[in-house]
Amino acid sequence: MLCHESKKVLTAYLDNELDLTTALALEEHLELCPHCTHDLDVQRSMKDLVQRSDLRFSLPIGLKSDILHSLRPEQPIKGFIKAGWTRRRIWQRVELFGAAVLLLSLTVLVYRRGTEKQGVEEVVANHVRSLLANHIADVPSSDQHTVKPWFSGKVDFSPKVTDFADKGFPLVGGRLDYMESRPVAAIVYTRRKHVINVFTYPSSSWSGPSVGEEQGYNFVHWADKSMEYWAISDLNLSELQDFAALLKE
Amino acid sequence: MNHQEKLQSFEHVVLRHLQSAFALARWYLRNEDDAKDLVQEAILRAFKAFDTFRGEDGRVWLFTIIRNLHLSGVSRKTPEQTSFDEEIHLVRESFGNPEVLLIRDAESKVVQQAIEGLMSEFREVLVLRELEGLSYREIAEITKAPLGTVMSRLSRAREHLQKSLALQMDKDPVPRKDGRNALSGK
Repeated sequence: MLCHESKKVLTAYLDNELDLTTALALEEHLELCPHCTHDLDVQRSMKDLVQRSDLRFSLPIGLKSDILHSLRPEQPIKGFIKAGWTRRRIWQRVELFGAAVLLLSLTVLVYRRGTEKQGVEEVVANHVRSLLANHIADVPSSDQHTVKPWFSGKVDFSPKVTDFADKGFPLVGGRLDYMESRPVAAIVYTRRKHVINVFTYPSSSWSGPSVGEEQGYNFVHWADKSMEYWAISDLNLSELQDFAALLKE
Repeated sequence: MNHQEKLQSFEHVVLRHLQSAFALARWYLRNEDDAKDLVQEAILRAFKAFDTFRGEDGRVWLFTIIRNLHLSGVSRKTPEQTSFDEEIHLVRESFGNPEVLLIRDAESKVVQQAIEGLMSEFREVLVLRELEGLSYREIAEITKAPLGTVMSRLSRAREHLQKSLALQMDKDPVPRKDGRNALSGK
């Protein structure tokens, strides 16, 4: 093998993409050629450097839920990026359209009462909307002594608010939300980059504890003596149930 | 199949690669906002085209869609940024996502910027090979280039990277944790 040939295959040799015959021929050449050996070293050092560097771009918060939401059947699936549109105009349209569809589906939901399925759908819609508008919390605070009193005057009950940062579920804030046209408290947590919404409100009758998945989100639903709870997230169900157990203590 | 079944299948086969897809878009466009636009549009188109999916590698299929969309000029809203603008943009990104801290050691930051400084056809093969671990054949399929071209682009990508880092190190050396400067070898 000659230098001009070996230069062509050096990189493939490093990546184990060479057949055995060519690899052996290359190795023989390298034993005799300091220039190609140097070139190989350069290639190898760059390969090693890139592999040991931290170059991972993690998913931005909300992107997955935005995408899942855009794939729902009630959304007409049409591309929304056309040449000449500015990013701001596009997002205004997306938010208006998404908000309009959600508002419409919520209005429809409000007039249906009772079954758990509708409750789940409403919880999902609330969860997605909180992510879409990038307005997770009305009171963004990781301090339970700030979040809990904030609800006073906005809802006629006092929700349980606890920060679980030491267990890996930090409190992110609180938000006023609505279910069946009643105001409810939404307590927001995160787990790694997953947002968890906990909806809670007073309830005397409820259809029973449940655990499930709806439209790509996992939820846990339970009640104690006087209050009903929903925890919903794209976090996996196993960890979500661990989180629910913390809330139940 | 109905929409729900299609969506479930799509999530299982294609959406599982969402993080990689976003990362690829981010390497192509070099800022987060444009990358988000590109990924979202690509996923929508992938879902519409999912009936034509024949069970090949979901990641390779999705990457091809992303690349084609990128080349057609969609989502390139932000003009070429100078390194100063890039610094500001990175800071904005970390404030926009308080839960996502852009903690990279100094060396990784330098490497990231050096890769972003590579020309597109070199940057893409380097990312597909080193960061996504794709084979030459898969890279050839995604980039619609012959195997030999993939090899030579990758080889030149690594060369350009070394030259760019060597220049960088002469200007502004980055000490490594163990004291040695691996980027320039001193």
